[in-house]
Amino acid sequence: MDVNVKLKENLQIRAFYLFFIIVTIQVGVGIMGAPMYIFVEARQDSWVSIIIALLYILMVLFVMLLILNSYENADIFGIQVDIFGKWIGKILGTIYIVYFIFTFFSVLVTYIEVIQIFIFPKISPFFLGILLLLLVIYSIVGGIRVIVGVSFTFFVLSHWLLFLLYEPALRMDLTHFQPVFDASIIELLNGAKATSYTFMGFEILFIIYPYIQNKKQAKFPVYFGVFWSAMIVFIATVVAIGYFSPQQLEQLEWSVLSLFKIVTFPFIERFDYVVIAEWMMVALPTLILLMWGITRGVKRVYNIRQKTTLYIVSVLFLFGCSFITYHHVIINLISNVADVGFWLVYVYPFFLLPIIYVKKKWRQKQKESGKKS
Amino acid sequence: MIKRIIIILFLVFSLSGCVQSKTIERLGIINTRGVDLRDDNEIEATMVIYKFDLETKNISEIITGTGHTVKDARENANLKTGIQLASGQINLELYGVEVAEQGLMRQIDTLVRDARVSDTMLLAVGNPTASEIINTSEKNVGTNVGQYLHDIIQQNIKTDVLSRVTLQDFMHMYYDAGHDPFLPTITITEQKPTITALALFKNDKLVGQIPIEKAYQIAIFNKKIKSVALEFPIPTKPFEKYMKKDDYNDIDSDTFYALFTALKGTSKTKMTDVKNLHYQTDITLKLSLHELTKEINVKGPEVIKLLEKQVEKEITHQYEELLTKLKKLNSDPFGYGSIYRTNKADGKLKKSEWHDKFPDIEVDFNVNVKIIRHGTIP
Repeated sequence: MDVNVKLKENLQIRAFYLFFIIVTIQVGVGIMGAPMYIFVEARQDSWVSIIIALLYILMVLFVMLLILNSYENADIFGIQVDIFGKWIGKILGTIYIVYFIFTFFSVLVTYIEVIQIFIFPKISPFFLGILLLLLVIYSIVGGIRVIVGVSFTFFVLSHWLLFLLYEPALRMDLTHFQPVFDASIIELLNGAKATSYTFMGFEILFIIYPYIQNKKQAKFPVYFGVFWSAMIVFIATVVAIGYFSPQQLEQLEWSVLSLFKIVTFPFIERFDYVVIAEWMMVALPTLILLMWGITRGVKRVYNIRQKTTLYIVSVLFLFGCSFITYHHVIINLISNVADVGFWLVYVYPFFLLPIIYVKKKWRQKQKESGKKS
Repeated sequence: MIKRIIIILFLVFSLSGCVQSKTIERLGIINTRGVDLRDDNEIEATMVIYKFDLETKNISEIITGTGHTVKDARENANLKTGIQLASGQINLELYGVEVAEQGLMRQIDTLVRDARVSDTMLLAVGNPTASEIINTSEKNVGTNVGQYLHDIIQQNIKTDVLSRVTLQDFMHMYYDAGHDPFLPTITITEQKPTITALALFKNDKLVGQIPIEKAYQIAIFNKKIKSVALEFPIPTKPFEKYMKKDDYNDIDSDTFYALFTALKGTSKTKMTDVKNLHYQTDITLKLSLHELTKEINVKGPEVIKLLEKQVEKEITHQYEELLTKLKKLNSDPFGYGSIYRTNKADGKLKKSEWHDKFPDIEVDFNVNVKIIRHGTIP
């Protein structure tokens, strides 16, 4: 397999769209429960944790871009093969694919469970799985441009939900934030770590980067995209902490969705139902981008056609999601994905970068000594 | 193209069948629910439901059921009707005094756990029992009891007689350590349901009540009050020289009454001494004079000043009285405990800890009244 990717001009996208890709893949189902997980660790200083997490992610992205820019036009699969050789490189690539598969699965079952809890308690997950996967398949078959288009459209179509937070925001109790800076450094870092599942997804950059037309301008949309999603999580968490009592928030599984329960309009009294349905527009781009990551990865590593993987994996997902019944299975799945993802997404790039530099130097030396002899 | 449209239409019609359907004619939409405790410790739920059946004339109907839990009581009530009861539109939940005295969290648990129940529903206490309130109201009010009961509470929240008492507010006050919840009490007076008192809770247990006229004293801690009517007794003596001439001779009582509406009322509390639990609460009220039971010439700033001072004295007195009562009940609807918590070094407070401390707090009430309008006559 080639380290660098050759792509036709018409398959490439402008760097500007990276912003929408990063935001839509990051903000998915994770944010629905995020405030509780952060709050349990960092209490009233959770907002500091989110800022710490943002700074750390910016650092990770900086490193990721350095890695990607040290090659001409490569993605993570090619880079790993180049650095570690064919076998280890492919195994590492497979780990990435498996990680994407489990992330996809966790998003799918979480959203299905939310629909079951909030709207249709008796609906079969099989049916919801069909609906969601059909849409995912439809977009993937359309190709990279459709995928980017979907994430752009749903970004625009779902962001108005933020305005609805004004109602709970007005009812915030500011004493919930006092005393400020009470949490220890360890607690703050634990809080930052608790955001890892919510903020995951920006590793798609490792895969989509070869598709960028104007790579020089890629930095700003990427950083700004992460900043944007961090801001959304920040707002949601601050409102949730102010609105719910500490003890209440600790027990609340989908705290962000519960925030919308107070929103009523004269023409529709239970607006939270609309919000849950609307949340499909938040979850769907995440699913589509993750699925694209899976199919693209399989194609790069094993050279299997993307459509073949798409159909096979979709069928597996469909059966998988209908067999998950217990809530704690889903929670376990999420926390496992978060644990593995933490190392793969947040730590691994820092190890990869020095190896790449060392190898580059070593190659240069070999070239020079080769010339000499 | 036509093929695609056919496929889409096929999907639209066939997929919508996969979701469970609820036909509105077959549903009983619960609008108000009353929860009482029976002698054998079972829960009796009295529900006002809406039916949208063409054949019946009355759209609202009352049904009851019993069981060990509220949900169980609902299922029991379901046995008595041919329709399915749905709880997504409960606007008001009434608790009998006895249930409230035993603690409401057990009943509220079902409301919180169920994602289909709205957070904006109102809670209230029915004195003596919820079923009596609902049944008597239905006889005397006639149509649509549920909405009627909901509206009298909503109306009083709007006019600032009460603070907001939604499910979310109750939960918020219950879960915040150092803040005890309160709910309005509905009683039957002259055959009609009336809000007569504010029920005070210690944790989730009802411990006492104060008359509804004094509820503004608590409401002012939670929001700006803007339109509530306030009546104060005022001693006659200082005003003797401002009495209108023709009225001068019949000073028969030593107090008269003045009625105001609040144009703006705010409160601010700070802790002056954390260790000894000293607080200072500033209450600022801008009032508009509406009625006096004695004719007093309120022309001139000195009369207004005097009146302001007397009202201030009265309000301070009322607050001190209220605080003594609350200390005795050990219920803190003001949220002094929350302020204590934020001033504490580690920012942690347990409910029981605050209830040990609350009877020892001291508060300086600093009331500042401004009468800025007095109608068209001086």
